Amino acid sequence: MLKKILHNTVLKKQLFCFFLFLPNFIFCQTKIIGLIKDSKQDVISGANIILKKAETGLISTYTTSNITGEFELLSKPGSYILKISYLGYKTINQNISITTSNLQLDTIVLAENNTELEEIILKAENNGIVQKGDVTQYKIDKFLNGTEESLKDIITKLPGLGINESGKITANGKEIDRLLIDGENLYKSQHQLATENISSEMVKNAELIRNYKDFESITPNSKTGLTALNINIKDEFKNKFTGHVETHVGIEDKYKIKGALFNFGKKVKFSLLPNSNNLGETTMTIQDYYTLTDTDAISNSKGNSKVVFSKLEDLPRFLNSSTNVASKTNNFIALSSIINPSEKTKIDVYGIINHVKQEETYNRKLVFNDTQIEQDILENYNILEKNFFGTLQLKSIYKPSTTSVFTFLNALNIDNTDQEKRIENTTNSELNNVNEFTKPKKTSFQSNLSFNKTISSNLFSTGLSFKYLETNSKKDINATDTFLDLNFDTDFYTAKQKLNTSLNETNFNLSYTLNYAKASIELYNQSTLTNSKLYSNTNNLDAFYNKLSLNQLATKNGIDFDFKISKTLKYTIGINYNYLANTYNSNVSHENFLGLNSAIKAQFSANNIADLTYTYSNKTPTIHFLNDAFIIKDYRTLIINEDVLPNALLPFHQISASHFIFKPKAKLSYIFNASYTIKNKSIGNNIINTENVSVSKNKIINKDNMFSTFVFLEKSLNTLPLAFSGSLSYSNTNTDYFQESTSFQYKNENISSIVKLKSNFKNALINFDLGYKFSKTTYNDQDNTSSLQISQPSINLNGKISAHLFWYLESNITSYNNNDLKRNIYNLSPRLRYKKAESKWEFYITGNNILNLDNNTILENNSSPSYYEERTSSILSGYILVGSKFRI
Amino acid sequence: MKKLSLIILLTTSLNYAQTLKGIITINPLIGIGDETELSEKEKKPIYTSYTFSNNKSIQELISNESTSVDTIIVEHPDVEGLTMKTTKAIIRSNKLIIYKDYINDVFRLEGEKKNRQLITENTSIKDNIPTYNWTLQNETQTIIGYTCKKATAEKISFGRKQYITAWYTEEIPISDGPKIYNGLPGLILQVDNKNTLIKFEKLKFFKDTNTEIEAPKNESELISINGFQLQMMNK
Repeated sequence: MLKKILHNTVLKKQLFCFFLFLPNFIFCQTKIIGLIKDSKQDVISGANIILKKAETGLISTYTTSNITGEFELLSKPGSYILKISYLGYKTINQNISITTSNLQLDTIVLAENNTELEEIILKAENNGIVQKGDVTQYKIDKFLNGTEESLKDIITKLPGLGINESGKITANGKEIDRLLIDGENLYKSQHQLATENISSEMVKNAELIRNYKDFESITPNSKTGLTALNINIKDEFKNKFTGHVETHVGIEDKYKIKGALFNFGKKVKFSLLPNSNNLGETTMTIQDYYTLTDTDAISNSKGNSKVVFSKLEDLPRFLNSSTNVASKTNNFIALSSIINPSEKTKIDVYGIINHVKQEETYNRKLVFNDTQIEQDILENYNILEKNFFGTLQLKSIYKPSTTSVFTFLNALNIDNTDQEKRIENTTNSELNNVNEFTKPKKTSFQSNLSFNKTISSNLFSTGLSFKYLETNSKKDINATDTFLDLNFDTDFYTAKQKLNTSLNETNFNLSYTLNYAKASIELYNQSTLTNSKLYSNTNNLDAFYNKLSLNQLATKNGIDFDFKISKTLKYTIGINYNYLANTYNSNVSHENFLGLNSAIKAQFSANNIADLTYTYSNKTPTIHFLNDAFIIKDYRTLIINEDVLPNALLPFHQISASHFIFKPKAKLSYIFNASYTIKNKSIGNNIINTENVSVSKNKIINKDNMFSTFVFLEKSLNTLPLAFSGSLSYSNTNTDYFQESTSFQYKNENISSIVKLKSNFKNALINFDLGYKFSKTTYNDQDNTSSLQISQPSINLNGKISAHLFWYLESNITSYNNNDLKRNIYNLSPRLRYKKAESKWEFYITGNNILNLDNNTILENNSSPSYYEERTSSILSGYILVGSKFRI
Repeated sequence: MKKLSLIILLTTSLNYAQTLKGIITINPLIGIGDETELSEKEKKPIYTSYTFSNNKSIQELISNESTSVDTIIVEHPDVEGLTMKTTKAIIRSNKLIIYKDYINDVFRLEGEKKNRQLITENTSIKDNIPTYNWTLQNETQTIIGYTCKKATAEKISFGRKQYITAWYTEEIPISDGPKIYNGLPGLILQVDNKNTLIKFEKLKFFKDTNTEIEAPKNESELISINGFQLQMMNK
């Protein structure tokens, strides 16, 4: 049948004719005519005119304007972006849609540009850094010598960049806001996942971007204030699965297994990082825990209005310290993937599972500055803790055009701890053996939907979020003797406490930003409805029974003004009106207050910025501070509220100043910042100590001030491959507290400093890194002064024995010095690494802290109002491992 | 009078003109006419300055170049005194100015070099600015800090088809480029025509500065580009 039709010659002829004329339909082109002038109505000839396809951004056609300022383009119908640019003038991007009829554009007027090109400083004399506007590009091979293993080693060698004590990347001393791998924020704030797992040979180059704009950002304001570091991956590691498996084994069953699987594709970026070890290495830091659990930071962009962490909330102990434990086993897996199914959509999946099992042993002496307790209390602790932490975040972004964006975020966190404390308490030579079992289970879920749209140059933004948080905690204490002055019916000294809290929060926010040439105005509204509950019960005792409920509606309406005073100076002032309605156990109350913020920012150049800010606002207490019956904190501490009201306003003033300079040519960076927080009203403690119990009562105090300052300087020599860096920080807190209802003051002062000298010889056999760390902490209250001084000189060396054999040696002496005791700890960690250039294998012999292969102890000083403690804790023993790494 | 000159000064500085200056390197990749490896001497790059202002551009040779003739005497290994002189000449211009005026569509080239016999020859070309049939590609790369896009073209030059790869940046909206290349939606920062690699090494903007660019004076009779190519091929 089909054959028959095709054999029909008439049809053939018709088809031929059809195809003959078809090209005419397809290639039918429309003429676009335009005229370009400057603001003085003079014609501009030689301007660049580019017609780009609106969807893809690819150039469709281009031309230049002729001597009379006119231009003519031929194009197929469709929607396009017309880009008009000329040297010394501001570039215009105009959306046009071309139909089949010829298009005569209105006269295009180009405005003179005073800034765009002047910031381009070109090719600093071959020093490997190119500064272009807000982007600093590092040609990394200029800085490397071949001994680098991972991204971490690269970053520490680049001028201006560094890695701080908690593993986060810093740019000129300040933590960066975004770490991007090939342009994608794959590791969120957990920089250490990237720095330790991406190997050095995968890295093509690095770029430091100031005023970085996220994919979801559509703000017309080009100064976002965000700093991002982008790590570009070499092409040979893209579009396929790459990675490595690392295994290490040592004596006494020490082990470490670590892997990485990456795929950096054009549309999909994927990373899977498992790690299991019993060396005490944790992949999650306390800072990560806060960023992953403190979802307030996500939903509440206009500053938090609550006192967030209270005494009732126990952090898992594994976060406190990585090495001050007797043993620690850590199993971790992180999965991250960012998918760009089209240019308009982005899906971001991020999940972590972390399991830690650890044992701590320490003994401490508690010294009370109280006349009620004459004798010091001695305690021996043994704490076993198992923690399971899991998080899953799913974020979808849909950007239908360059002017509007939808974001939908869902996050689930599970945090379960199982803790067993065995305590031998000796008070007045009487021994009490106490066992404490605590099992807090925390579950939180958060969902957040937001929509942003630019309307001409103005930005409209709205968001709705919902949060649910539940904590169920069980605490069982049994002892051989009486404790907490409880009335025990029998000779079994047992207390069973149940503590449940829950929080439901719905937040709605709306803002509109009007942008003018020299000013911008932002109007915003935020409403939060919170419902929180607290329940506690111990041995069915009335004095330990809490059942609280707090409903709160908080609205905040405000306005922010931004003025450009001059080219370099910008001034911001904002005022907001807050209204709070509380229902606490069916008592209703209303509060309102005004909040203020103001800032002045001077940007002398992209790399020389100073600012001064002032903020005034009020916080309100959460339900955790309001318990009118006792809650057991531990076997000798009780918590109760004395005079904190749910509608109490806790005002605070914050003043901060900062200045930073980075000179890429001179490889010099300098940063200074200082901040002072003044709280005239805050939640403090009224402490009542007796022989068996310390009662800590939540009480409003009238002074809680904190001052901190930090100076950082780094300079790399241009003549010799040497870099010097130094930092000095000082902080001081000054707080009121009550003891037996009498007011006292408590001061805490800390000064610390780090000085480093690093070499980076390209071909030398040896490179060094000399450092000296010093810190001194002093506590003062009405009777006592305690202090702890830690100093640590260190020498780190590395070099090549042959082209394939590298060695590393870390050594330091840490001396601890407190009121009574002095102790030195020597640390020597040598390492050998064998790697052939083309080989897939790498081999290691790793020694860590080999002078302390047996368990050792360190000294710590902890202090709080009314007592201080001197603690001797076990630390992890050193180890020797043999390992290998295989690249996939 | 002082006031008047001040006003003139102010109004001229209100032109928002920008001058772009740069340095171009020209790296010979293969010798013209033969595909043998280049000697170190031949590989030495040539440097020219570049200035663009008011839709005119000028390039001038800044490295000290001249034609060199190396003479080597070869001798028959068995017969003493049976010798022959061989010469190898590397011909390089000691003066080269390329001028492009986009307002009046004028291309000028003024060259001076010594030939094999070390006799000075002048070349003066006047023509329209050459055009290229560029095909825009989707590849990008960063050159001296600018994001560049690729464009390719084919052109008959000296009777042979030349394959040209150019990298231009939209960030500098000048439809010009080094040597005779031009005609892309942005300044061409690098050109590779298989014989030479021509590249901008440095660029500097001078805000509010107008640089007067004038056409060079001709030292010999003006000929067209085609005429010059025919002249060279018939030599």
